[in-house]
Amino acid sequence: MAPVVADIALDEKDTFVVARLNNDENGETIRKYLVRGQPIYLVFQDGKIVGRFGGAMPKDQFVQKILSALNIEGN
Amino acid sequence: MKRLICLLLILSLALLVSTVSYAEDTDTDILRAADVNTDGVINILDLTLVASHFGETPAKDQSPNPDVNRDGIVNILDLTLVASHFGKTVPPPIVFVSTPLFLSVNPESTSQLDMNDTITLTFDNIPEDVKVNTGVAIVEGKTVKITGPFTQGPLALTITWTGGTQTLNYTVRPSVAFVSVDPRADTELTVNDTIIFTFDNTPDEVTVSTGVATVEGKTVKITGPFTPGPLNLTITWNDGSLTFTYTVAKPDIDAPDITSGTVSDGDKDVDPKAINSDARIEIEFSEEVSGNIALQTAAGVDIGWLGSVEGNKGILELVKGKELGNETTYVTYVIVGKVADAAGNETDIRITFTTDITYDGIPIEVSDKTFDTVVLKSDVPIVVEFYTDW
Repeated sequence: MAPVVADIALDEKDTFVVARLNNDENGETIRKYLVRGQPIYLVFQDGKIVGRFGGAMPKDQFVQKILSALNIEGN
Repeated sequence: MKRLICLLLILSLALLVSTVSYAEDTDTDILRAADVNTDGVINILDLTLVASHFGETPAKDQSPNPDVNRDGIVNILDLTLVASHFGKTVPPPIVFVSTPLFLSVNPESTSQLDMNDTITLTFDNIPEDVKVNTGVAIVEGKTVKITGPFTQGPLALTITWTGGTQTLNYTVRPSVAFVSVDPRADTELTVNDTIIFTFDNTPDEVTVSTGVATVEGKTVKITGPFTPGPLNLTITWNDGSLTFTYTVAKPDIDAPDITSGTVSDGDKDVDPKAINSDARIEIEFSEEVSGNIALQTAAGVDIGWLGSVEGNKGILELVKGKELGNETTYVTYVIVGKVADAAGNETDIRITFTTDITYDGIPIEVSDKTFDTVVLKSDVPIVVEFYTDW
């Protein structure tokens, strides 16, 4: 896990939860969500995918993508 | 002239007596009749009395009665009778003195007595020289009162008096003394309490000022219902009487209330970590209760915590591995149970509360198995990082 993800998880714990899934051990889930390449981030809300993105990016941009997916205005 | 004739008759009869021989007469009734003046001797005075009433018809009950032969007229036959017994003495009349007869006794013979009872005998006349083999006899006119104390057990009471004796059989009960009472005096009762008196022997003739008394051997049970307020209970038995005071409480018709607790019905965002840390949930009631309590899910499934009710508290204790809460979902729990106070007033318990999400900012590791419950059922947005270890 990139340090930036850990920071974001802690900083935004009151807004969203961060979870992690090991692709090598959980093939069923990665097949279900067609995960290829890494790192891939899926944003879920009420059981549905509301955002999907990947690749390296600055922390602020990373948070903003999540908030946008959740229709939450950024700081 | 009449007097002269009488005198002549007497003299002639006296002369006759002196010359006539006759058999000894032992008929006492005739002798008594001939002793007209009842001085014990038949002599000239009796002849004179008959002669002085010669020709008369005296009443039968007249005294003295010169009609010696009781034929209704005083005549020569009467004079002859007196003359024929002239000089004889008459035995004094036998005086018949009636002996007092025993008529009745109270209590009746063969009945039970108390040690200090009084036995009263009634006679038809005043008895004299009364003696008893036990107790003390007091003569009061035609009655005799015999007072104890008598010795416990069989009693053969013999009373003697001039001219009679009578034996009466009784059983003397043991004296009955108060030993204890439960609940003790000066305490509080409920309307339907039972007060139990204990004696050293079986009491008899038990009465109480309130309630219903049931004698069971050496105990007497007094059952209500008693009237709320001060109670002065007097119990009387054959050997005594005692009064005890109580206060009868108003009947409890109020069901116990839930006054406070770790959680309240309808609570949301309950911090499960704090509860898990305390390892217990407490519910406090308005009074002491007994009953049961359990912790369930909203679906009615028991969580597995240990429930108990003690004093005025219901307690749920955490069993390791059964901690409350979830990292990504709000969880609703229900405390259920039923308690009752000492009067039997019942209260159903149903306290619903929902715990807050326990996520603490540290990313959660998920897998194929937990993905649905942690991610898809999450009550909060969740970002999943799909990664590969290098």
